Amino acid sequence: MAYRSASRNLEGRLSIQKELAQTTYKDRCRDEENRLDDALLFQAQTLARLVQFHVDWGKLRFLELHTLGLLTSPANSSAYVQVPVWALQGTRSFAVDLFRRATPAIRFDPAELLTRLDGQVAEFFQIDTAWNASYKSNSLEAMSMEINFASFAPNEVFHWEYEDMQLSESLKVRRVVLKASRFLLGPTPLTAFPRNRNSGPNRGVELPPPLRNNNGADASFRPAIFIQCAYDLAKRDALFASFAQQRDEDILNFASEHKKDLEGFRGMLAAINLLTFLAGGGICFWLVRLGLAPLNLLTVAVSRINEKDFNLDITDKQLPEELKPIAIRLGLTLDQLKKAFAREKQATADISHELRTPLSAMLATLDLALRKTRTVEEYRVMLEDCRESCTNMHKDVERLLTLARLDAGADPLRPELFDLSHLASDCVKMLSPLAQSKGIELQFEGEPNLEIQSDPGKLKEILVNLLHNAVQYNKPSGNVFLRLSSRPGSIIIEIEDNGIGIEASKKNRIFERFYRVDASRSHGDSTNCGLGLAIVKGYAELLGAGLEVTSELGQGSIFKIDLPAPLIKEAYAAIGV
Amino acid sequence: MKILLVEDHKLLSRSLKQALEEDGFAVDLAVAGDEADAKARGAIYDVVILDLMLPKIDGLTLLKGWRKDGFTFHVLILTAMGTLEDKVLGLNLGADDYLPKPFELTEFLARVRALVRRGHQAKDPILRIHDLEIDTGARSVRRAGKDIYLTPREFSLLRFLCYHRGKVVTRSMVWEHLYDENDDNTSNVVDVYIRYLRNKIDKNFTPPLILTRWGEGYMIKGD
Repeated sequence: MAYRSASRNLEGRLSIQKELAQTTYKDRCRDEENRLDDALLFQAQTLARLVQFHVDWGKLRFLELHTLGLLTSPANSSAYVQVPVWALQGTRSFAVDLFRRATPAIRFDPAELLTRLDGQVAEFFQIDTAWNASYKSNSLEAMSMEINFASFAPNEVFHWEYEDMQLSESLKVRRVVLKASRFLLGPTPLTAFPRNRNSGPNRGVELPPPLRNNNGADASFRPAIFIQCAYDLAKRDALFASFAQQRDEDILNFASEHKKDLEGFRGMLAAINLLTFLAGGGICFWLVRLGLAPLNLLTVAVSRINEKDFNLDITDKQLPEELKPIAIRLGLTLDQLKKAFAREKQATADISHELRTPLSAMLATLDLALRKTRTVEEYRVMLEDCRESCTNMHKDVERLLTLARLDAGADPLRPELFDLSHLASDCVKMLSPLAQSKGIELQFEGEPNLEIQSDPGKLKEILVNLLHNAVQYNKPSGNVFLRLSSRPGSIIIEIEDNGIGIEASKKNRIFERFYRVDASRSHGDSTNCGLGLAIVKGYAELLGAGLEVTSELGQGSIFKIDLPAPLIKEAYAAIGV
Repeated sequence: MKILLVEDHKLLSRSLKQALEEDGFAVDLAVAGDEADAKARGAIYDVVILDLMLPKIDGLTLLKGWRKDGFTFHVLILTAMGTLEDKVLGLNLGADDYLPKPFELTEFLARVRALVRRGHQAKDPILRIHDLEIDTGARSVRRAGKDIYLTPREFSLLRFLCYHRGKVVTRSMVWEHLYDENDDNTSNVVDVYIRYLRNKIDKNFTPPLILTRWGEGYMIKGD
């Protein structure tokens, strides 16, 4: 961009320089032309001054005219202005008369001529007179410069014109034709030639009025001489050509200068670009490093994290604002991970304990049995103990597997149409022996024949677990109620006991795996390892049922299941069957 | 030799108790942390067998408390948590031995016996007094090359006397070390068992090894 605008500027400069060269050339040509023209004119004037007329009369010798007073030029010394003007004035008519008769020949003092015209441009000159006297320079040889006396400024006494003309076929010249009426001079001599380029006389110069014959007899007589000077145009053209060459050289110089400038500029631009790029790259690198430094810090802190130490060893002050949310989020995630690990560890320990302890018991019992010979009764007791332990372990393993399947989502719902009331009363019957052995009254209250579409296996598991807990964690001679009630769109199952209840602080944790409210197996056999409620919760979620617990320590608990099952009867009624 | 078995799994504790008793140990049981603490502080035990996952108070907390309060009985940790960290942690907190579940009964008993020996600064599992040899590991007794059969109680009494050889053992000491919490508190039993023991060890041999210190108790002859 910058290069383009700069190169445009340079182009502009170049074209201006070219124009300037062209103008200079033209000026020089014009000046040269003018100079040549002036020189021509000057030579013509000089010739006019130097021309001599040779007449036969001796008396007239004094009239030998060098130059006329009116032709006084700055270059001219006063030596030639010796013609007594008064005499001329006084003898005007006389002189005219003389001239008419005598046709004087034209002569030059060659030395004078040479002196005067030394180093001048005119190669050719020709002097003509109205009376047919003529003089030609040798260089003209056979050629002559034609002029029409009659039509050339007939009314002027003093006039010149420039003209290019073909002198011969091969020679083109520029000439000046100067008409000077030598004898008809005005009273006031001109002090300088008017310097008009094209033709005289110039305005501003007061010329004497054209002479008219007072008698009228010589009205047609113009004692004028016509002086022509010319130079070979080829020489001028050669000069012009040298100017043109100069101009072309200048232009070439300018162009090469321009090219050099442009190249220099381009190089500079490239250097600047490179420097800028390098500097930019360096700054970018530095900035990126500076920006990434906290990330490095974070990386180091994160890399220190392992399964034993979940603390993100980094303080807020070490991090910029942008990274703080990440660090905080990371910290939270690590906390969760830590808890998950702790849970996992705890679960492993729990599972180990739950399985290893009964296994140890069985092993110890069997070792004991084999230690020595025992009575049949002793063997029977030991074997029964082992069998019970086996059964309990089997239950635990089944529960663990159930939870594992729930976690893996590998326990699909198997919905079918069934009688919930029937299922509930079955569950009650199933747990009645246990309840009776503890002196607990187990009752079922609810509508009969509640048909629903659900998974009976999972519902049964839920009910058995909850009823078992209600019986297990109850006071002697307590009560347990299983209630069923239908609402539009859902069925409410309530299991209520007036047992030991649950502390409010522990209520949220009872559905955690292996969690026991009093961490004790003292409430009976070891069938409950703290997985029952976890399974209840998992199944309830799977069935889309709500699960709520209300409990008061020492008063009892109510587990409420909100089963979103439209009653089939209602559904049939709704569609009018 | 009295042992406190702290284990909340019923079958396991029952089987271990029976095995220990058959080995001639008196065994007290505790199923919860608080109960174990009370018993350990209230009676004299040679060895406490401690499960870690206990109701109320966990085993490691109990152990820390006992060691802090200067109880020197030997503690064998018996737990399902058998990782290296758990073992190191348990031993560092003052346990004498660590046995992860499940285990072989014989190993368990051997470890308990080793702890008992350590309690009496005895390296040799065979106690020798005169021509009497008591193999505490095999639970066998020989005198003058003849095998002698002893009941667990008799064996327990003899072993106790031997561990205290040359010293007078009072009836209450015997009571405290050889009878568990469920035995009736009648010190006559000690005299009865001393008589049984004398009949088996001293009756056909000379010299008599079990001596009576009137008004004090009994003593087995030193070297």
